[in-house]
Amino acid sequence: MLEQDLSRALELAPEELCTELGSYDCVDDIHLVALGGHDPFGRGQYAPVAKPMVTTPLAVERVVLAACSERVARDHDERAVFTALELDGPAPAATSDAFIETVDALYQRLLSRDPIDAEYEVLAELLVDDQGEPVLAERFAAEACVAVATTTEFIFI
Amino acid sequence: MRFSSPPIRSAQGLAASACLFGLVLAFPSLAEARPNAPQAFCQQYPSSPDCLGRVITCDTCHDSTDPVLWNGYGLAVNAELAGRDFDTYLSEALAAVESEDADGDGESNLDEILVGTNPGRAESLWQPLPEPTGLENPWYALGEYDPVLAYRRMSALYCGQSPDYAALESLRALDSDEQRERVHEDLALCLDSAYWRGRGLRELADPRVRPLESVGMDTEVELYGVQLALADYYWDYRLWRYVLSDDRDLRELLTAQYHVIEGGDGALERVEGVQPNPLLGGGQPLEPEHRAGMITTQWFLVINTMLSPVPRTTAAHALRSYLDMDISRHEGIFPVEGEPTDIDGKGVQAPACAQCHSTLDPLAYVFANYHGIEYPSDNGKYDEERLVGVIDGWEPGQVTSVLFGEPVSSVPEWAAVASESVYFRRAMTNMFVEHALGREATPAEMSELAALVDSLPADGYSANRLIHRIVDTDAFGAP
Repeated sequence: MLEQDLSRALELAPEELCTELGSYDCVDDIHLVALGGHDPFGRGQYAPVAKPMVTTPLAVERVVLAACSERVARDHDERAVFTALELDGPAPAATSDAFIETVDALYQRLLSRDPIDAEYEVLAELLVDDQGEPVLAERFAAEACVAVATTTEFIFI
Repeated sequence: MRFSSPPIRSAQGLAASACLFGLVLAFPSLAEARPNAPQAFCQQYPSSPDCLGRVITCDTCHDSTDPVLWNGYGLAVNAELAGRDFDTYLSEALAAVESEDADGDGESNLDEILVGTNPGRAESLWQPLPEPTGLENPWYALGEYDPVLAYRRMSALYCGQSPDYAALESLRALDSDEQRERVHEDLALCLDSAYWRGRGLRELADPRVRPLESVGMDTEVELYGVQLALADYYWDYRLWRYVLSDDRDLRELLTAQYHVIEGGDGALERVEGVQPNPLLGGGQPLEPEHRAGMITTQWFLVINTMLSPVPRTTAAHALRSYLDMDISRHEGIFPVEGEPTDIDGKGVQAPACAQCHSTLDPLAYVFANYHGIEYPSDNGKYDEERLVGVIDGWEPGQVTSVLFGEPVSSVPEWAAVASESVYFRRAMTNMFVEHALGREATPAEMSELAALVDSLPADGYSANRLIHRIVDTDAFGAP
């Protein structure tokens, strides 16, 4: 389901979300078990593991990071998700329409709801680096995407 | 912790019966009391969910049954019995220790029994969830049934993906009654979707079918150019998906005498009679009168019976898959007097073995008339003479199969008894509930679980209707 929800939210085909070594599907192959799947036919694993594994958070972040990065890369040429951002430029101000529209898009696409004020404030922290300097818009886009797509709400509900 | 609500699951039957089993296993002189004790407990606690189908094990009183090791609760009950007649004084002994705390975990034996934790093991403890605290959640109604959350979870489980923003906004605009109505309208669509009918239902079957690509119809193993496929597990999956869709009676998982094929449009169609093997295996060789749903498919018999004269693994897997009783964990022990007879000389009469084989062997005898692997093309065929010449002195009818204390003369009879039992209803309900929740039901959810089990007959044993009821539970819809 993680695959399906990311695929729809980021407008990427499932096989475009994440691959290891550019060839092996992260979700259906390499990290299948860690992500809660099972493979009865080939591996003789007849049921998913009962609880998340030690590697599950790593696998989730791996897939989400790859998917968000792929979406940002594609939005440079063909905008689908980050339509309000100039990805080659600096990140927008926290009070700008571009920021609000971007956060709205991520919450609506990934969590199927609008963000609350506290959530805008949290994501606004991603607009600047550790020194308080504005980051590139593409970096903000990727990090905001990862932040929302690794919330408990997205992963478990 | 006190539980003021009525007992939502009574482990009293479990505790008592388990101890009873342990006692009789430990002391052969008590063995004859064993079959009567569970009934005695259920007479004392007729509303106990355990008496309505919970699987009984020895763990409540025992750390081990061979060698015999008692936990604190078992010791307390045993001490209270003080060598008196087991049948007569067991209820009294159990009642006498109800207020004690045998494992010292702060909960009385009775409280633990009523919520289903083990009164003899301190690490077996349950605490109800705390009341939600913190900031108000503007999107989900914490601590109460929320149709929006239920809709989201329902879509993910049965449609294969979460609802999008527009769908949830549309739902949020409705009042509560309309929201619930929408949940069920769209659930019906999901249960009819390609995702649920295909992948969703198939995944539920995996641990029961236990496919093995290397010997199934997808195998690449060949001998002299002939593909070595022992059987085709896709028959099993098709039957499973067929029975569990379109409001069919899920008892047919055990009683179907038909098979199911997939048409060109992907629709499942029922077919009757023997289906010839395309290769060495891969068909369905049984005449309808010898068929019993999922537990007599060629694949089921091949992968479980294999070359065994007495197909104990086959019976054990049927029990585990469709009655939720894993006999290797001492679940579903219903000893049969005089068993095991050890007809194949495997040494199962040894005390440590007989604990389970006194139940398992009588479960397995009727499966002995079915071949497992039998080259060149008799895999899974019915043969009443199968054991003649294989087991010295074997004669058909020499032994009697017994399921839940009831003699059965064939696998279809075995399946009929199983499918009408509360254990089957419980197993099927648990399967769908655990799939829906991603975990077992907690003690606080046991009353809802019991109601679901009870609803199956009135709902015509429909899996779809059961799922609709599951989605209506607080366990499912309360964040």
